[in-house]
Amino acid sequence: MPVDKVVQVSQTKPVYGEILVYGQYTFGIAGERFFREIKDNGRIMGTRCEQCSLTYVPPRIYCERCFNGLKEWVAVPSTGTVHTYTIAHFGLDGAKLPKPAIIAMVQLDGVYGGLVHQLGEVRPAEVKIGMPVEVVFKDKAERVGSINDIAYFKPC
Amino acid sequence: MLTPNYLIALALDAVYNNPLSYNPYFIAGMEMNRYLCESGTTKEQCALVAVKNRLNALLNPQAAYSERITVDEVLDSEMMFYPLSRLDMSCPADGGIVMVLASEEKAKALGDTPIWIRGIGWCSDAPSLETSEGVENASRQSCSG
Repeated sequence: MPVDKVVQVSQTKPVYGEILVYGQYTFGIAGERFFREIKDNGRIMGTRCEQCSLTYVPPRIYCERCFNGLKEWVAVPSTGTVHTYTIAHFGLDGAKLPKPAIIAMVQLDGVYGGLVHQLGEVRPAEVKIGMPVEVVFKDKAERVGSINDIAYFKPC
Repeated sequence: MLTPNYLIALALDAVYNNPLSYNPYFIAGMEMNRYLCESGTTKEQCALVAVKNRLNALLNPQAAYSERITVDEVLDSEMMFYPLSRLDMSCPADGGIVMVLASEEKAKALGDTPIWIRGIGWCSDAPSLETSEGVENASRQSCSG
C-alpha cells in the first residue's frame, strides 16, 4: 500500500494494530564454545593470548591489548576469589526477596576477567572479599547451555 | 509485571549477566563494596554524601528529592544491596539538560555569571562487567576483606 508523505501535522492519523517485538541474542563465536564446554564437559574455558600472557574469561576472539585474533582455548581453574560481592535484598521485580541473594564477582584463578554469579553454601555474614570459592555446576542432565548451568560458587 | 528494573536489566550483557535475573542494582552494591574495601572509606562517609546532596537540592526549587536527613537516618535506612542502603541510592528521575556553549567573549556578553569549563575528560570502559577496571586492578592488588 503506497503511503503518501505527511507534510502537515494535521494530516497525521492513528493506525491501530500490533507490532510484535521479538528479539533473540546469539552467544557469538566465543560464547558458543564457552557455553558448550560448560554444558557438555562441565569445564570453564577461556581464550589465550600468548603475546600478552592473558587468558580471557569471558572468552574473546580478539585480544583487547594487541588486537591479535585468539584461536587458542585453554581450560581454566574452577576456583577463584571473590573480587567483590553484594547481598541483594530485592529481586528483579522490585519485591523483597524471601531470602537475600549473595551475588559476587568471582575472579577465576590465573584469568583476566571472571564471572558474575551467586554464592551458595555460605551465609551472608561469612562472605569476605578475597574469599576463595569454586564453581558448582548443575547436573549434566539439567544443563542447557546458559550461564545458569552454573548453580553457584561455594567457598573452598 | 513489567517494572522499570526489567528495562534497566536489558542494559546488562544479554548472555553472561541478564539471564541471571538479578535486580540490576546489584552492580552498584558490588562496586560500592569493592570501593569501601580498597579505599578504606566508611559507610558513614558515604552517608554524608547522600545528606549533602539532598540538602543542596533544597536550594533548587525544581529539585525532586530535596530533604533534610541525617547520617543516622541514612545508615538506619533499609538495606537494599549491601552495602547500599535505601537512602544511599539516588531515586529515579527523568529530565533534560541544555548547556549553551560559547566563547569567552560571547559568554561574558551574554551574562554576568558564566560557568567556566576547566577541563574535559574522556574514557572508555571494558566491553564486559567481568573485565571492567575494578577486576583488572584486582590482579595487581589484593584486598583482605
